[in-house]
Amino acid sequence: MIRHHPNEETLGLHAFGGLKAGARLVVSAHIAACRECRDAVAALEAVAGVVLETAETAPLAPDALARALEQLDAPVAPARTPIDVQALMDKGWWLPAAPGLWFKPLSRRVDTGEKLYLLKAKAGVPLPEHGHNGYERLVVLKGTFGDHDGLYGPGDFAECDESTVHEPFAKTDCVCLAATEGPLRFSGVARWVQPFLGV
Amino acid sequence: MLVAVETRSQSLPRSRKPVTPEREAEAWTTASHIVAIAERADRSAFTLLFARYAPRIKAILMRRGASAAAAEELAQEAMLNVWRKADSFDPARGSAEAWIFTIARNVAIDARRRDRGVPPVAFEIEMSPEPAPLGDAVVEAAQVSERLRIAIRTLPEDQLEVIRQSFFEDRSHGEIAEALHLPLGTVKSRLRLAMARLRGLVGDLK
Repeated sequence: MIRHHPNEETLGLHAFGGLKAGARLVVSAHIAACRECRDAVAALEAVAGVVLETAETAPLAPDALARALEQLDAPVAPARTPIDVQALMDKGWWLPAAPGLWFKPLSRRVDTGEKLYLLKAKAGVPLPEHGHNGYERLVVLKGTFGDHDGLYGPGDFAECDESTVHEPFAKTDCVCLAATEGPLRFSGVARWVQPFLGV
Repeated sequence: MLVAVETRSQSLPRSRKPVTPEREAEAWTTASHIVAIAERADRSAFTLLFARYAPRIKAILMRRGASAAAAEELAQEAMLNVWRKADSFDPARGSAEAWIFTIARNVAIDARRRDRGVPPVAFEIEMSPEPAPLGDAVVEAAQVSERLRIAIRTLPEDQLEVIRQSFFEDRSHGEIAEALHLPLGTVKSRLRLAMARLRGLVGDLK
C-alpha cells in the first residue's frame, strides 16, 4: 500500500522530462510501484502530446527526411548495461555514516552537484537529525522507516527541501534510493564523517 | 510482488492489442500511421509522421535554447525511435501524440545522460500486490485528446509558453523563470493554472 507520493510539481517535471537524472530514477521507481501516480503521469503526457501537436514548427534542413529514411534500417547501437542495484544491495562495500547507518554512492555529478546513492539503516536506529541543501528525493526499496509524517514502506516516496529538518528512524532494516541536488547537512557526529562520504 | 525498474527511459511495457476493423477504417490519423509502421514497416506512413512532428519537436527544443543544429539532430533521433519502437504503441493505452511526445522526451533525456556520463540503473522494489483498479481505468484516448485540443486552444499564450518551457530539459522552475524574465511565483502559478485546467479534463474521463 503506497502512502506517500511525489508532489504535483515533481510529477509534472517527471512527465515533461524536466528532472535531473538521479531524481528521475527515484520518481520512476515510485511510479512503477504506484498506479495512482502512473495515471497522473499518463494524464500529463496526454497534455504534453496535445501541446506538441499544436506547437509551432521550425523548418528542417532540406535533406532532413532523406537522411532519416536512409537511417531507418541502420543497426542500433546496443544499450549500456545498467547497474544492478539488487546485486549492490547484498554485496560490496557500504560506507558507514553513523551507528547503524550506511551509504553507497551510485553516481555523483560534479557539474550539478547531484548525487544518487543508496541508504541503509538498521532497525531501531534514529537517523542523525539533518537538514538539506537543495532538494532530496528518496524512495523506499526495502523495509520501513518513519518520520513526523508517518511510516514509509516499499515504493513510498519522500521529498525534502531546504526548509525540512527531520529525524527519521528505521522501523525495520531499511534500504532507500535517494537523489539529492546538494549536500545534506548533518548535525552532531555525522557532520565529522560527512566530508569523507561524498554525500 | 517485485516491481522491476530500469532507468533506460522507456515507457512502461504496453501490451499489444489486435487492430480491429474499426481502427483500420479510421482515416489519416497519427495512430494509424504508427500502427502501419509497426505492422508493415510502412515508409510512407513514416514520411507523413516525420513531416508533421519533426519540425514541431525541433521548434520546441529551439525555444528551450538548443541550437538549430542540435535541435534538428534530436528531432531526427526522436523520429528514428518512432520508427524503431512503433510496435510498443498501444492505442488503448494513450493517445498517439502523447506517445510521440514520450519518445521525443526520452531521446532528450538520454542525450543529456550520455553527455554527462550518468549510468543507467536497474533494480526491483519488494511490494505487496497492488489492489485492483476500480472499474475500467483505461482512458478513452481519442476522446481525451479531442477535448484537450479544444481546451488548449483556449489557454492563454503565457500559460502555454510555460508548459512548453518545462518540456525536455532539466531546468527547474526557477531556471524557467530566469529564461522568461518572470518571477518564480508567476511561473509556478501559470503552470499550476494550466495544468489544473487540462488535467481536470483528462481526469473527468476516467
